[in-house]
Amino acid sequence: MQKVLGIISLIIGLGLVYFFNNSHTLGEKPIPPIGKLLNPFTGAWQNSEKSTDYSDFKLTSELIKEEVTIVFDDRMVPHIYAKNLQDALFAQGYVEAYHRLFQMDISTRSPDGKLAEILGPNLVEYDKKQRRLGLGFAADNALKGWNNFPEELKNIDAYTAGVNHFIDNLAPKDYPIEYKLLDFKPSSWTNRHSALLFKAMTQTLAGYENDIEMSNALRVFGKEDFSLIYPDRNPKDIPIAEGPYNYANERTDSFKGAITSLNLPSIQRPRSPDGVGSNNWAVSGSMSATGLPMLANDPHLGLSLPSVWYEIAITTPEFSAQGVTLLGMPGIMIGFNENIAWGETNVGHDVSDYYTVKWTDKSKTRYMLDGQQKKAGLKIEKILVKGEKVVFDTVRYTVWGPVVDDEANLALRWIAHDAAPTPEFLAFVNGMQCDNYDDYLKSTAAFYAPAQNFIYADNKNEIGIRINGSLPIKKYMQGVTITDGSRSENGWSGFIPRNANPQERNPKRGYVSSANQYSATEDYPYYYNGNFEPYRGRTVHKYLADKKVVDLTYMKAMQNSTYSMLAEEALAVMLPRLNGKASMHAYATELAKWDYHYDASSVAAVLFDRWFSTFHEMLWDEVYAQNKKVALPEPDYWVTVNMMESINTSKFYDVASTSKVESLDDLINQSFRVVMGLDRRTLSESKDAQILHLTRLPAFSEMELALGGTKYSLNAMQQKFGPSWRMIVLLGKTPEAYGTYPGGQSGNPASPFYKNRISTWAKGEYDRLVLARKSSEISTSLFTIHINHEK
Amino acid sequence: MKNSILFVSISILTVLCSLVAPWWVIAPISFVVAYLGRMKSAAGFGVPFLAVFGTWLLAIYLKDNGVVAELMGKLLLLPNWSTPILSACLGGLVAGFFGLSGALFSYRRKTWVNG
Repeated sequence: MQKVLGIISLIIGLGLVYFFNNSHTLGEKPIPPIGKLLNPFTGAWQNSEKSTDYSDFKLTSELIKEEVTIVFDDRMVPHIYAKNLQDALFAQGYVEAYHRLFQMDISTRSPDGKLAEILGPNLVEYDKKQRRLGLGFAADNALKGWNNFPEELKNIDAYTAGVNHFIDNLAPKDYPIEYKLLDFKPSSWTNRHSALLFKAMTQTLAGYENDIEMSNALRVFGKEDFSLIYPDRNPKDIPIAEGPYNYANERTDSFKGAITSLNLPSIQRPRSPDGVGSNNWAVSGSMSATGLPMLANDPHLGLSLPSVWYEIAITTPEFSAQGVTLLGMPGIMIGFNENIAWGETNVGHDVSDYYTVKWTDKSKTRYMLDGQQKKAGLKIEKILVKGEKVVFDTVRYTVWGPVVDDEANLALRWIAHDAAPTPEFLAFVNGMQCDNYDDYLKSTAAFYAPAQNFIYADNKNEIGIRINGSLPIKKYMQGVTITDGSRSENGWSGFIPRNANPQERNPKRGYVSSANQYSATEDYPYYYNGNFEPYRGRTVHKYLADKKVVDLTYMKAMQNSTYSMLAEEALAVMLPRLNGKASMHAYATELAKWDYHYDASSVAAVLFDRWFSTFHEMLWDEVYAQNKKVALPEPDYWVTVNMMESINTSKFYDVASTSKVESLDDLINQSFRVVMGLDRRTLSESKDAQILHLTRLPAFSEMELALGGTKYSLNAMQQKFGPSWRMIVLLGKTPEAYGTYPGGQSGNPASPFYKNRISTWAKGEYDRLVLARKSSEISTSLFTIHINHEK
Repeated sequence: MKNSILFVSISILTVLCSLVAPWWVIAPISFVVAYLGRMKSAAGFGVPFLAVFGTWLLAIYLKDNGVVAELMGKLLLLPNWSTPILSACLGGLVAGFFGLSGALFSYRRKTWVNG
């Protein structure tokens, strides 16, 4: 009997150990391995981090040539002091892994299509799509290109070695908390991971296209209406580089390879999310309160915890630079050194085009090109799935690129697949070391993709901006729709010569700026299309054009401005056209008094948003009614504004579903009736901003932030997107710099530095960024890491 | 007295072994100590349970200032204060069943030896 009871007890015990030691799913809910997670010796408790926990430590590596010191200041920003660049980059890799290992891991797994391996079967479809887009293929190509530069490759090798030094010496008890929760181990870092991050960035920033939808629209509406609903260009736009352009090129004739006959469903494909954008501007000494240039940059990316950005300072005998970097890439992307400041905003050129593929038979191994059969490359993708069997997928590669969708038979020609002629990271590794504009232009000249508006200012009173990246040469309307892939002449006809990329240097107006608007005017000798921002760019000009003296307070106020030019332009038309009861309504009065600022406490902003979107949908009911049957692009808001301003009668004002023929006034008044029925709610009550942890677990996220802003204001705060880093640099003998971001340096949710900077950022305030050339110049430090050469 | 010595032995072994072995090392420790200590069945469950419960709870309080307790509370949808106790219970339960099993096997051995 005892023996039986003993065995029963043993079985229960073993059962508990098995259950507690493994992940499970209860219905749809994943259960973590709670024994691994909750035991005090190796579980989550070990990740507890108190401000008293920090103490200096030493490490050695044979890959370090000379001594490196890393001092963490009171904001947990690492200041790296090295005797040479490669040692500094080793340290950069080390500290990034030290603070953000899980983030680096997950953000390389995402482009590589390796999420199901750790997150389970729900992610298989996502992984498949990423592999179909060929992001891994793109990273492999990038690496091939990098390998042609053995000397420059040493920089990224040093960075990679630094990351691995951290990973290799990490005890399981010190794994970031997410590894314990998801029950997997960090794997070694390679240069390919850095390439993957570049490709993920290209996907976010240069993954824009709506070729299928535009093809459908052109067929459904015909040329004339199409160009009314989806115009090529906003005539009000003020482009980044206003010319004149002295490049010898003639715009070519219209493109003839568009395919509009197919009725294709909107295939699911990961694209640039709506809301990504950025601002930057630099004013010259002539209009700056200091007499020397000032530069501002605020990229708007998805807000996440940990933040996409990591602040870092690097000093060698040659230079001393500070700023932010995207994790996994050596160098500083947006920052400043003793003499210069730099930053980027995204370029919206369409560099992602879909081509039809005509297979010779059902096996889909050969396709037609220029009347000849061509063999497709087949790549077998093996997707590991946590807790389930391996999934295989075959991706077919054509001369254009991978076939993204088997049903639609479309292949993707995408800039991300190209091997860049020089490694992309050099723009940041070399850029941060420059002390004059010519060198900076040289350092960044080969930057390939995603194309960025590189802005620059220095303490010798130079300012400049250049649209930097590889831009395909296209015929008029090429790539707006799906393209006929059976003729090779339908491909891009090369790239715009780099010296013909639009740019400005010390222009007469006294400042340079960009906010994702068009790169150049219609006089620019090369045709381009894409996704360009209609209001923020003009807002920067509104703030700077007639301003005599710009100071720090003004720069800060600009970055935090919630003013919406869209609201001002639209209300100028809409309010005077209200009639009868509507014009006397309290909400009409409230809107008339409104200053067009999207403050968190604004009620008018909510009323306007609802009024305008209702009007927009009634105006384009022809589009929205058909959208259920055929995939069509949504018309842009600026098109709606421009139309109500300048076109009094149009068949589009009529709402098709009613027997009456509506006019512009009817639409304005009818849409206002919806607003009259609304409850009073402030902007922050109607949409709480959220900053989600990468796993989307609410426990690790910041769920309710009362913030103002709109997509169209310089403070482009939306629910999940917004200014992910704000920086202002006043150039001088020593730079005076300010920065803020919604997160913290540490990726550990149990660290005091996990989200400590959110409140400063949310208030529109800044931290002072002090460039300390020597470690002794850091007033308060938390701890120091000494790295020595190991013999 | 014997139970106190076994309690202390399990606690010390738990701390020492957990530094190098996975968390479930408490299972063999509890089994072996209960077996060699020839515990009675009630004590065979109770002593390892309390020893591991106490050791784990103490280790948690020494390491965490409440931040992880709060994170785990949010994650598991439990009150923050309860997560250290839940964790300690989890260890205690495993130790208890293995201790009980060890005690039951040793009890049988004793009767067999004696008679």
